[in-house]
Amino acid sequence: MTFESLSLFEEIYGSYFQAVRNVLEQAAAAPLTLSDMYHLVRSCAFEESAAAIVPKLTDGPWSSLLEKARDKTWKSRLKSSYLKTPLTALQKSWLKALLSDSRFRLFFEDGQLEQLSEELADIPALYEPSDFHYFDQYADGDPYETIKYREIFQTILKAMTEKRPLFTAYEGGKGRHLTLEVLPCRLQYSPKDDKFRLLCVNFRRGRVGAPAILNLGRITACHLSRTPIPERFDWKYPCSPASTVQPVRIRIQNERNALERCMLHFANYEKQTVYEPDTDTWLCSLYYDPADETELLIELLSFGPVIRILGPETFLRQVHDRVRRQHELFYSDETALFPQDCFRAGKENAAPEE
Amino acid sequence: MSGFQELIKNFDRVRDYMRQFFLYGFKVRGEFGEKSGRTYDNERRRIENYLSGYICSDYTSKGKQISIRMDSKQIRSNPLYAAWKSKSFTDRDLLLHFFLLDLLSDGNAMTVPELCEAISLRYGEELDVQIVRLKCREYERLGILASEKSGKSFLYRLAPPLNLEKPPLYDTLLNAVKFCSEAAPFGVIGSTILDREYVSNDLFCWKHYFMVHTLEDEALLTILAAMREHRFLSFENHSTRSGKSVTLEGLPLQIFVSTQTGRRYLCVYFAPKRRFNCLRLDCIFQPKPLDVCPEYDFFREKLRQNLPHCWGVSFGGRSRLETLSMKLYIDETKERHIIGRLRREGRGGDLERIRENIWLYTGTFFDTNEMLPWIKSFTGRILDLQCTNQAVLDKVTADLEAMYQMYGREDEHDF
Repeated sequence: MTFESLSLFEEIYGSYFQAVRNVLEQAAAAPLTLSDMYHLVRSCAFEESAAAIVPKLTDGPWSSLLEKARDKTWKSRLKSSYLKTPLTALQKSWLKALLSDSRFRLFFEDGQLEQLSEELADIPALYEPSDFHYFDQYADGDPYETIKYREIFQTILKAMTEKRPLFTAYEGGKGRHLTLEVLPCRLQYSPKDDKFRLLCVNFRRGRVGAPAILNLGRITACHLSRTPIPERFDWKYPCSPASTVQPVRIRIQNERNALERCMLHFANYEKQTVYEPDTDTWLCSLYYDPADETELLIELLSFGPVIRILGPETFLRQVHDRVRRQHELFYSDETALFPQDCFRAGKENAAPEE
Repeated sequence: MSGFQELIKNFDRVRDYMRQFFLYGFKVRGEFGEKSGRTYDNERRRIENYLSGYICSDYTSKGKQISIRMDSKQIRSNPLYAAWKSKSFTDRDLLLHFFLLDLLSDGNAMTVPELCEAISLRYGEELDVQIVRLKCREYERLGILASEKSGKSFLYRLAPPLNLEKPPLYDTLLNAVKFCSEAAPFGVIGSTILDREYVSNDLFCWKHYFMVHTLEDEALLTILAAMREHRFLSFENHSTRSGKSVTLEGLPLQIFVSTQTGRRYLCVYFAPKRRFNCLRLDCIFQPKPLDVCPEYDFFREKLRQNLPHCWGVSFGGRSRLETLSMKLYIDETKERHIIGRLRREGRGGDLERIRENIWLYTGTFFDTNEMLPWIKSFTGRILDLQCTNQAVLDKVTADLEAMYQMYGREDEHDF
């Protein structure tokens, strides 16, 4: 295999092939109606794909794959009901590259990692970790290499896949030690922080409480609990959209490449941008999770005067306070500055706690 | 619209439109300058199909503007991967794919003439031997088929499954793939592995996830191939500011990644200038590996030695290193987290406690201009700034003053 022969853009990975495979596998198990086929294609492909694929399968150039029965149903002409493509060279090469990723290794026991290494021994890795330099990643990422962290990670994963409650010993802010029972819903990963966080729901004596976020790096021990979970518990609960607050509105000046920088920087937020020809500026609304307000605030401040924060008023007030405070720090006598209290609104990048 | 096809031959076109819709989302039909209106309509419709549920239309005085809107914290899997799964094919490609999988599913090996005969008998399709042979070779290249010589002809069989595909290891592997399909380079490959099993990510969610950069992955694949073989690279570099395109040649050494914006850069050594340079990956098109560079390891080592002095992606001018110091007021009883910020975000700079509540950060880098956004994120805490590059100092001071003029006065409102 040569790397030059590898391509991501191949029809075998395409949604149409996946949709047809789905139809054929289902049609091998039981005859399908047209409606069944439309449904199966929609689950795998794009908005208008079913209208293109199904007629080709029933009456068109792909009809040799299906056999029409009298009752307007179709069954597969293939003898096999199992049409999974073998792992390709590209997929194997990617898996081999992952073996050098400490986050990937968290999922496995040592014996499993050895087995994976042996299996993929002859496969060249698609890339090496040293091919990439993450120049602005925070320096206090989670300790993926430690045995304890890996054990905690695997226990949480087990609780999530088995939908079981979890007992955790947690080191909270200011060194407080807490023991919590939680329902683990999702593991959140941030490449910027290089940390995992557990999005969960407090669970005490069988009663569901408030959502919580636990830093994995601060969980000192955990094990599965046997407390039964209420049948109707919604495992997506803490992951529901939080963008219910008013968006932050900013005006972007047409200078210093501000538009391009803003659009790239805030690409992880849901946003809406409109050009205003009268002022030759862009108005951008950024929808955000209130938990991230302080982080968004300092990100916006980092752009300086090429953007102007317009609202909402509570957000703007914090900007005013910081900017005025900065002016005082620069141009007032240092001894007149203490104590200061203009940052009560939030902690800058303080680790989220339960 | 007759003749509309959801699928595409050329990825670069959809890459361009998807990026425009996703990142900016404020351009209207007439502003996609060099393309015809019909082309715009087709691309827009395709992207609407790929990303239904994420597309928003707004009407302005200039016309309808399309945007892709999504909150990365609510996304389980990158919707833009759909673009990678949209390659067009012929009817014969699809038929042959399923015929071959079906005929070889029992583990038997068959020659090309045997395959042709079986296709004719079983499915009633007459296919040319040469076409089947080409498809078998293509699938061998992709790793789907394995071949062995038998007399004068080749026997083809499905590539045997790996032992790692057996439970319970495979279940664990798929969980890891759910994570890596979004968090590792070339995550779209993981997405194809999950598709193969009809599963999707139900365990992980993301923060600071910049999805648009998957669109650069095909170019990245070629660049990494050149890096692996220690080759020079030629490529087209499109300037987003001027709109101009130039062809460059250099030695690709490393990919610089910003986890805070998702931007990725190719670090190249340009021999004529004797300089390292970082170029945005989303501006690089048509990369082509060239000759092998015998001194590749030497330049890679030189780059490694330089990295501690890069704040970001700039190697500065030809002047010496620049030093920037920032004195901060930090209330140590209430704001220990700010000290934590300086330590984790300071990229190797020194942090010193001057006295109670007064801290000094000092960093020495090639280009302190790159530090300014970070410095401004401490607005409201900075007691003093010093920098060996006066222009940088003037710039940040002017910015802070301009912000005071913008926000500092009580009566300043612009809602």
